[in-house]
Amino acid sequence: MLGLKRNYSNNNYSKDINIAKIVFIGIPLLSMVLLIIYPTYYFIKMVLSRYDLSFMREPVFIGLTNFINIFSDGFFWSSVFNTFIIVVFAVLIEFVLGLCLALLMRKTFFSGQIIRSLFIIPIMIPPIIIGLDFKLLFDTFGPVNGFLQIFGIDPVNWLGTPFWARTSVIIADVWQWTPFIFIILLAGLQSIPEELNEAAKVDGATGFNLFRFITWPLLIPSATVALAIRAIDAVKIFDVPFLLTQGGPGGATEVLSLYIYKTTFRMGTMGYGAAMALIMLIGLSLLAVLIIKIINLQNRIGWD
Amino acid sequence: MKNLFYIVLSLILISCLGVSSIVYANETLNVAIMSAHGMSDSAQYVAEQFNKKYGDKIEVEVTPIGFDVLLDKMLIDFSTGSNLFDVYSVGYHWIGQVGLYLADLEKVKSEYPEIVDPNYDEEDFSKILWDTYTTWQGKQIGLPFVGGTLTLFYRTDLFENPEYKKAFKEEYGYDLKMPQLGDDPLTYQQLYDYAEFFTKGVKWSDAKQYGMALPAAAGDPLLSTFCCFFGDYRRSPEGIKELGKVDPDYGDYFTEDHKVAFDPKISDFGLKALKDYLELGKFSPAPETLDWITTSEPFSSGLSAMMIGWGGYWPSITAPSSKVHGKVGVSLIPMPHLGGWNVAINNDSDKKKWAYIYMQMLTSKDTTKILYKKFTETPTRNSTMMDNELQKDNPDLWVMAPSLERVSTRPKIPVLAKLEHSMGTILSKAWTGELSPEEALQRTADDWNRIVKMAGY
Repeated sequence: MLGLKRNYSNNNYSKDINIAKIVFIGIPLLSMVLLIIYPTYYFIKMVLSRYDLSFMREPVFIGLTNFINIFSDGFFWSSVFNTFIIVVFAVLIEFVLGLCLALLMRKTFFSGQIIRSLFIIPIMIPPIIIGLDFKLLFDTFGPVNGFLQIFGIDPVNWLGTPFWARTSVIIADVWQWTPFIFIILLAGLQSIPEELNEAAKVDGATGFNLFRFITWPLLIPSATVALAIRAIDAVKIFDVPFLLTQGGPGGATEVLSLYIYKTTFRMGTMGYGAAMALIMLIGLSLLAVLIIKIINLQNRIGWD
Repeated sequence: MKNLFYIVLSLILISCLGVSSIVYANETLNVAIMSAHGMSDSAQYVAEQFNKKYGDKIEVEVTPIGFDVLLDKMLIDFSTGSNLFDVYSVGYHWIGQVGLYLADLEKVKSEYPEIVDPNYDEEDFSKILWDTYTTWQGKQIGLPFVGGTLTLFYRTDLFENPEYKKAFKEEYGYDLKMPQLGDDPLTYQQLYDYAEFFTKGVKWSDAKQYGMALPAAAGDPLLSTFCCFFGDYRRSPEGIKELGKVDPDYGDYFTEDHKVAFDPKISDFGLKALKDYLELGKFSPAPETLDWITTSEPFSSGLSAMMIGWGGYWPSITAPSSKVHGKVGVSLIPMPHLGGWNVAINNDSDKKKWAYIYMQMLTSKDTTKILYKKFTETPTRNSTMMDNELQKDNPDLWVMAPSLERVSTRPKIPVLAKLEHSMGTILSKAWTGELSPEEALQRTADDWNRIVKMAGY
């Protein structure tokens, strides 16, 4: 090709167009097949197969047997319950805290930008580091218990009792993800025209009424987005329980993604793990639809 | 001119690639070793010796891999046939899961008889260790690399304190003494008494004090430590009579005919062992949170008088920076539990001959002594464990050989990971109080029966 003079006769032009088609359509298409279509096909194949890495190099088709076994698997349901508890409490607390912080920070003041920047640091820390840090913090002889003892409170067995272990996971999650809710709600609050509040004040509205009748209705779209994203993300929680408790004690913090990991990689039963992952995917999709429907998002933001 | 430049540049680049491919034409033997204690250091050291001798033909490249992901990597490598590594360090309890993918070393030796070292001396390994680490379903699938049993670490300053000895004798009626070489091992009652005494019988610490740091975290710690208690019953004359001999492939948790041995419907040994375990746990800080690493923390920090842990933790526990430096001794727990690693060849490897040569070097008599001196990784050979010179310099070495005389083992069956998960989830509810010991044990046994039945055993 080097040194050839370009000759845009009709034949050469058509040839160049064909080459361009191959390059600009073919390569992305090939990427799609390699990265999406083939893996999806293989995933569905595994879901319907028995594939035990200890003694199988290829999956063996067993139809829906994996799903039948999953629905009678007590550990699966226990992990779903654990995930539900942790997600509901964590997201609820994150939302309330995030909203309070956003309401406090909505008015710009000197050094407000700096403080807001500091608030979002937890989001930037990898979850694996969060898990390790909180494992040290919540150790029986760790600084949290040391702090409690200053006030005469007996040490808490943070990671050794089901209630406190779940609480520890929730605290770690709230610490990391409250800033996420905060950012979204703050943006939502700052988009509310101040004139509305002023007009309401002129009419005698104060405090909670201002929030209830002016701020909150206009904040709902942002709140919906924050809750939807956070809830879906929280269901996938893995790093913190993996590092903090390994799913213990007594399976109290074994969330669904952790059980899927153990089943797939530790126990080597890939087909079974893939089937649970598919159930999780369907569950998350339904959750997203449910959240949007409940908050009636379509009407509020004019989606068709 | 410009085109000529591009052609010349392309030719130079192609030549460089060609030269580099000639320069690096040597084969590589890829070795994956668990990255803990001195294991990967040992493997690397031997790799350097190997490369000096055979580097013109093949070079060993050692990759340390963390415990948490090593089994995952092995399973993926073996099941996909990727042949990422030729040699792996394999925890003996994983043999059931990966055994089908490991090369039969008898076949390797018969194919390449010239590489077999006549001085290797298999008799230098204790029988229990050889049977557990190297054999599976009648095949030899590995060579013993790193040994280890659960060991009792204790504070020598507390146990040798004349005041405490006197107070203990007055309260319990016998001497406060840790068995040494040649003495009868402790009983669990003695261990319990010692733990109770140092928890509430005498004030030896200004901070909170515990008699024992006892691992009971869900997973490997719970499975292994409970086996110490259950194995004591399992391998007693009554246990052998009632439950049959211990099958090396199935370990102490199964009867001779492969039923779940701790099932309360079969015998009461399981419940007795669980109650012993729970009782001793009363003198430990939060045992349900203690894994292998975190168990050593209260002991190293001077908060507990004893701990149960792997012998390989001796260097870190007794490091100069440790609060208990110079104050630590070891003894036998009543029924030690066997841990340990072999080295094995990936059956997909096309370098089995070199792999065997490397493994033989790594585990030879002379090398084991050198590696122990350099890296103090728990040895597998009797000649190293019972070396007088080494025992003088290493106060923890004496306990290793006696601990192999009566030791409990884990199952080496493919469903071990499921059994471990089941015990970690259900039996640990006895620790948290969610279930009574009877209920927790029965539910665990029922779940083990379900798992084993589904797997076709």
